[in-house]
Amino acid sequence: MSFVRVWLTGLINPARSFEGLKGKPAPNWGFWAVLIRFIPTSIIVTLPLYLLGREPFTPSSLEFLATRNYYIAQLFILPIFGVVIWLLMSAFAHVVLRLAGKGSDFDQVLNIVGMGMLIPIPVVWAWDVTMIALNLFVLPVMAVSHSIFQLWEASIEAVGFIKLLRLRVVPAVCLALIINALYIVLAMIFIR
Amino acid sequence: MKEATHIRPHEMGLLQLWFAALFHPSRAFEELKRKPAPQWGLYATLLRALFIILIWYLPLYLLGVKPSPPSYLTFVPTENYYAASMIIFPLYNVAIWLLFSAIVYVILRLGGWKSDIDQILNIGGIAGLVFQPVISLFDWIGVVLGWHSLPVVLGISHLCIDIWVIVWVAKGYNKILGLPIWLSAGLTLLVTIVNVPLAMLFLRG
Repeated sequence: MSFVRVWLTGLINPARSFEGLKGKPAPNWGFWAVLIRFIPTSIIVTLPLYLLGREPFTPSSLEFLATRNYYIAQLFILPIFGVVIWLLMSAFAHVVLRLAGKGSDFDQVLNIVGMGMLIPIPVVWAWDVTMIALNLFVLPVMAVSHSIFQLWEASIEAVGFIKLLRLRVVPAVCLALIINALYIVLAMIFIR
Repeated sequence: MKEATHIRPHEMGLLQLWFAALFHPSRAFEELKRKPAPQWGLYATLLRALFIILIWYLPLYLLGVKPSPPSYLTFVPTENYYAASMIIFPLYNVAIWLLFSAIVYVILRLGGWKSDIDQILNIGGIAGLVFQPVISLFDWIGVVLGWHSLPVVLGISHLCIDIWVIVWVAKGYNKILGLPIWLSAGLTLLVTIVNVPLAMLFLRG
């Protein structure tokens, strides 16, 4: 399976997608997945918000970065944040697995988390752009929809842990939820 | 004929490893190679956090010292920074331990080198713990002698220790992972540089 096929198959059949991911270059595919998720997100979502003169729903958490300038700064912050959070989530998952006495393959963990971040993103892009266009890019709508997207991402990663690391369902789901909670906490600080 | 007895080498505890790391790094790396990984890295990272809280943040908080420069995080007021640091620092310490190890690992893998994340985690964790008493000693001497308000003196003393740490970790990658010394030093230097903006954002000395 090609990279694009693994990606798009994951939208409807994550189990087949992760079967296709087996044996692919790791952690290379995870790395490309993260870049493909976060660089276009900057351009497709953050740039229009900046050009429309929008301000984030919640004020900046960083003293040196004014809320009114957040979106222009986020154009550059987001890809860096994406790579950092990918590494952090993957390393965290790996250490938890090793401490629990489970076998872990860090290359595969990096590929699972990277592809897990990428797979749902076309839907997220389409949703965000539609909401911006319809002037519905408002806090309640985005909070609910992005919570659902985050759960979707977690469930995809859980499938990856089951398929590639041979984890049982409950540990795989718990691990995916924990690393996505980590994502949410750091995103609350850095991403608007 | 008497059967040859297999003599197991003496296994170092954490304290012995600590001293060996400072005075006989090569022996320490030989020993560290055999220790459970990444467990020793994690224990060392947690111990370092506890050590810094007890020897640095708690006393500064009890003395009512305010950090300089002020907090960069809107949700942590400057006047409460040292109290908050007792929670922030352990989380930060574990996060950078994971992040820096992962950065080193991924760069090696993308560059086509063999790598072992568990050993990288152990080396990084132990390095953080081993050098912390030296750093804390300098910091407290600085506080007592009034250097602590002189960023240049503080910066130079930390830079000297950082160079020692970089050389130590580079040697660890060289001995344990078999990497060329230039690559080991480059990777260690890179994560040291990445640490600067993150530490400025989250930590106060």
